[in-house]
Amino acid sequence: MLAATFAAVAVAAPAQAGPLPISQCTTTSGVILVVDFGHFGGPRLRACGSTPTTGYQLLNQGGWKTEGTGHDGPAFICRIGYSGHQSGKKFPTPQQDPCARTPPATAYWSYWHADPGRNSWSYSQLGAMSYKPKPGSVDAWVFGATDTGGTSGGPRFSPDSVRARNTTPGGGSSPRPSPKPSKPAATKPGAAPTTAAARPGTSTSASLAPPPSAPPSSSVSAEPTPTASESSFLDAAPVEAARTDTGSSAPALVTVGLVLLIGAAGAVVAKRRRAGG
Amino acid sequence: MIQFDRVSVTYPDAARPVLREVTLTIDEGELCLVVGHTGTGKSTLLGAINGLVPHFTGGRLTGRVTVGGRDTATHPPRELADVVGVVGQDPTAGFVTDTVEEELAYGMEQLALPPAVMRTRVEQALDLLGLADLRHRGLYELSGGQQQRVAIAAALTAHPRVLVLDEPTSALDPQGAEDVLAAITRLVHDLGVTVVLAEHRLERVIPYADRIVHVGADGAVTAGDPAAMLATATVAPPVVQLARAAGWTPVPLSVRDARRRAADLRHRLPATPTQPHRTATTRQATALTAAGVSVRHGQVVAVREADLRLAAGEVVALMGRNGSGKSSLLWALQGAGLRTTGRVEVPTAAGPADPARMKPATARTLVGLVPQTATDLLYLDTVDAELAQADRDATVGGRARALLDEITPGIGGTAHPRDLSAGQQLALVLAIQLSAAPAVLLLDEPTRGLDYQAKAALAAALDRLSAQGTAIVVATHDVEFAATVADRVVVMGDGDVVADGPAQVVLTASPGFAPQVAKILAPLPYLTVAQVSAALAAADPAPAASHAYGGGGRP
Amino acid sequence: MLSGARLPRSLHPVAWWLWAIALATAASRTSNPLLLALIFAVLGLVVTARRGDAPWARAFRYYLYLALVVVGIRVLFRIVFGTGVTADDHVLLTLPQLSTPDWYAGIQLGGAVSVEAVLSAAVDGMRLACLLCCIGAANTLANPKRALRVLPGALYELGVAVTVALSVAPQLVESVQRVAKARRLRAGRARGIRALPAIAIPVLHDALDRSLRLAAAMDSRGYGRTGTATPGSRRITGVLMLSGMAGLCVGVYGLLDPTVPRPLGLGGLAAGTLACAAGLVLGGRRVSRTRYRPDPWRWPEWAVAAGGTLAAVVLAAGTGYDPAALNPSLHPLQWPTLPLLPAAAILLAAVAAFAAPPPPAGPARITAPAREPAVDPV
Repeated sequence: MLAATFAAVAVAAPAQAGPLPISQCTTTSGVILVVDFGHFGGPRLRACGSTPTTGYQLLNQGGWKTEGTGHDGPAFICRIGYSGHQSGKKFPTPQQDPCARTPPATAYWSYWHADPGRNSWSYSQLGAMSYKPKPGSVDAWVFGATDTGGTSGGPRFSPDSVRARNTTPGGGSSPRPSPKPSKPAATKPGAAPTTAAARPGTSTSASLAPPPSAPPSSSVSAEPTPTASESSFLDAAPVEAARTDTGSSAPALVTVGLVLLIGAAGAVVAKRRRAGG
Repeated sequence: MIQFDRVSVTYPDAARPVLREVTLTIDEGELCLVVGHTGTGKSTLLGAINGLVPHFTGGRLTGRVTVGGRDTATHPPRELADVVGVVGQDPTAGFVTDTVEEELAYGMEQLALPPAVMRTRVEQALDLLGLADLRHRGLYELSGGQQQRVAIAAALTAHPRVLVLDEPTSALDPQGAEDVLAAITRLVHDLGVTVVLAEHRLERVIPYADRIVHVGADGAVTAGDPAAMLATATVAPPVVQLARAAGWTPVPLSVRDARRRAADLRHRLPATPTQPHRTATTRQATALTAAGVSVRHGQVVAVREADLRLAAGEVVALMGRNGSGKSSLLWALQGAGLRTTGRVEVPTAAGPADPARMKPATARTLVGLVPQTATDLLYLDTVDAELAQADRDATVGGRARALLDEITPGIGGTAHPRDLSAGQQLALVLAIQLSAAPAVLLLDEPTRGLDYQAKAALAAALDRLSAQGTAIVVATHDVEFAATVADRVVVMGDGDVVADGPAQVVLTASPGFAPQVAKILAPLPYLTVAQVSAALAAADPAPAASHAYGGGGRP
Repeated sequence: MLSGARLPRSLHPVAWWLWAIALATAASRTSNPLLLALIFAVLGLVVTARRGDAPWARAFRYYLYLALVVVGIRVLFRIVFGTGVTADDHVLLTLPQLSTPDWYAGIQLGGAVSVEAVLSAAVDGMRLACLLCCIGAANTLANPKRALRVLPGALYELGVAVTVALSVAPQLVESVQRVAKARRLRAGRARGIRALPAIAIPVLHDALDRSLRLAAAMDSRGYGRTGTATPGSRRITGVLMLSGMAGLCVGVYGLLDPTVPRPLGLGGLAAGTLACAAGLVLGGRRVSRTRYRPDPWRWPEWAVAAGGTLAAVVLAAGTGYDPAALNPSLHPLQWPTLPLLPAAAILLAAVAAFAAPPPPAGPARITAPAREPAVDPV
């Protein structure tokens, strides 16, 4: 049932999709995203995104980032990271899973949905790139083992415990076409998601975000406590994705040089053998 | 050394025993030649010596076979491996390893001989059979003769006291066969190995044979002195047939002996034969013209710019050693094979046509080819089904059965084609190809594995065809067969046409291609025993009756 | 000077196979194109330097062709069955798209093709190609049949079966070619599946005949002599081997399935290994056979095997360097890094090219072109 997280289809992301502060998600609009890092000793993180969107888009905006496998491409969600959690480190780490081939059924990110108004999880029959969450629904990602039918190994929390119980968007703002998540204070000071103050959504949730203008560097501010109760969540505020550089081409050049050197050695050996034989 | 005590062998589903009450003793150091038609119990007799019959082949063996004191009933072939060495027809079928040296050691490894002994024996065997230069070579890189010598050497390294050879030269060209037979005779003389040999090139081995064992069609086995046995045997080489025709007793066994006896005969015979070696059926009309035909396989030029004109009704024998390009030329003429350059034309009602440019179904009505492995064309499970398929493929259907009965009568329709004898299979394939009524018929090595009778039947069929105007090309190593059927002989060497002329001229020009009768009677231009008999009959009608045995001659 | 161990001779086939399998293990651990390129280079160097003149030694180029085909197919599949393009990807080209309905969400053909997808498919294909070439190098450097000869006595029959199968394969190919060509002579109008019996039946008959003749020949040459073993000891060997194999299976399953308690898996594995070893020893005693010119195992064999194994260990252990460098991400697109320790370990495996003694010069090189085929080329 690994196929559920594997999308064979590239669906163009809706142009309107974007990350939102948690307060913007209501029972009828926006999608709540929950990622449970509990397997790695981390928190459960909660975020909000606009619709229409895909499960993949939801996981790759506002500071979230996923990684696919070498074998299946980006559509298979092999690692998930959030720039506000452990400097954006993606889990499982390369030591835990090289993500070269499809991960085993005993340790992978399984994908769950809860439709609006429902308080039970269903195992996703579609890959993250194919699935389009309904407004007001909840998407959950849980790392660990599920059986092949997706009947066990689901989230250990109820969809209702994650939902933002807003009936109207907090702050009255409608989804912005192109949000600038790192500076939400500029447009909506009152609902600034970067503040550490608990939002009124759920009683036990806490907000988690890196310092406004320094996206992935250090976000030790709100390290999760492993003792967080069953239904405690940290709100992951939308932040700008970490900028990645393309690295240095020097190692590649060195390798080309080495291969050429070995090739030359081979040519010399071959020539000598031919002459000697 | 080898004792058969009232041995009978019956295979399952067989109505009658293939060997019946055989009692036979073969002594140490004897060279024993086993003769008989194909399909008789020759191979069974050989197989019984090391227990392959019945341990491997199945069937029921009554009586007792002992070899070196061991009873084959209690010793399966593997437990007799140190006493009996076996060499089969196709050496490649028995190769287990892939280089010469390892193959020679294989049997000794099974016998658990100490490494030092193995080293010395391998060196000895390499020298004995002249394989020292080939020791590191891959087995499949060798020529057929070399492969067969490796197989013999591999059997010898175990120092068996008996060597059993089942038609070891039947798949070889004359040169390869010569090498192998020379090696065998050397073994008999130098090592004193007991050799039991089935061989259809009798003339090569008879001079060395101590005894001949004849296996009859009814399974009865008789053994005796070679000259005495051959005087009456139904299987006889031309030299023996000539002796019968000339009334010589005892029968000379080698060309050399016969030639010394023939001085008188040469005087009696007219300088020119009273009849040609075959009734010419060649007509004026051209059946096929090939010009500048070349075939190239990679870097190897198999055929280099060959020119060939076939007249209707003409029979051409295509000769030359293995790898000289005979097969490639035939395939190129038919159009199914590769043709790098040149042109081939067959006259049709609509003008000259090139078979290579036509659909296979049309091409085979112009030129028919019977390939070297004729059974490659058989894929249905009864003879009737094959014939019915041939009728469906033919332009004029319904003739296949008649054609088959004309070549070899009495082949059952429900028989499985694979269960037929080699001669019957050839007849079936020939009938299938003839059902398309081609104007030109090409046969690639059709005589391989055929006994004297089957060859005579084939020769008769080719005669009838040529009389009807079909042009025939037969690629063959068999000089005697060529002398019987061919009007013209084309010799190929290394891809080139080396000689092309009337059979009479080409076959007497060099000893390598001369039939035995020509060798014995040279310089008289006789090719077949039938010619000699006819000439003798014309000169003196009385003694000519004795050539009635002449299986190899023309009926 | 060096000892006699370095005189021209063929290296023990097991040393080459260990070396090649170790390099294949190393290759399977990484999708770093730089490391894979280094492995390719090392394979090429060693094969060039140390292959012999035997027929199997000319096979490496065919493995290379096959490797190229594998890479090509992998890339083509990724292009046709696009596995998803993210917003950050660099789109290379867009193919016309064939999609299945949303509720089916099945396979989709075509669509946007990104540089990332093509590169990742190429690297993935490269890894497979690298494994192939490792096996190819082993086959080129060591006679596969000779390698089978080192099997313990009790497994001798198995080795012979494989050897025979290996030699049947090329003969089967030749047989198929011959029959397919001959079909034209009989009009051969049937196409596709209906043409199958006309080719398959003669070929299978041929193969069956040949195997029967081979079996008879091997039997006549003493294959399968029982030596001094009694039926009782043969039965015990059989029981030990079977139960040992079963134990091994249980053990391996236990170790791979995390739900099975680990001691059970380890126990099964140990018991299975013991039973197998006992069976092998006992079975080896019943087979009486000697070996002609056995290959020696001297220091060059140790050096070659160790060189390969080191690379495998370094890449499998994942310590001493950043393990992420073994599988660099292509999302976002960035240059791969060259982790020093793995690179050095792979380069060290190239020592085999110099540690192994040169192969013996066979006469094949002089005489091969002049050879005459055994039968006319049909």
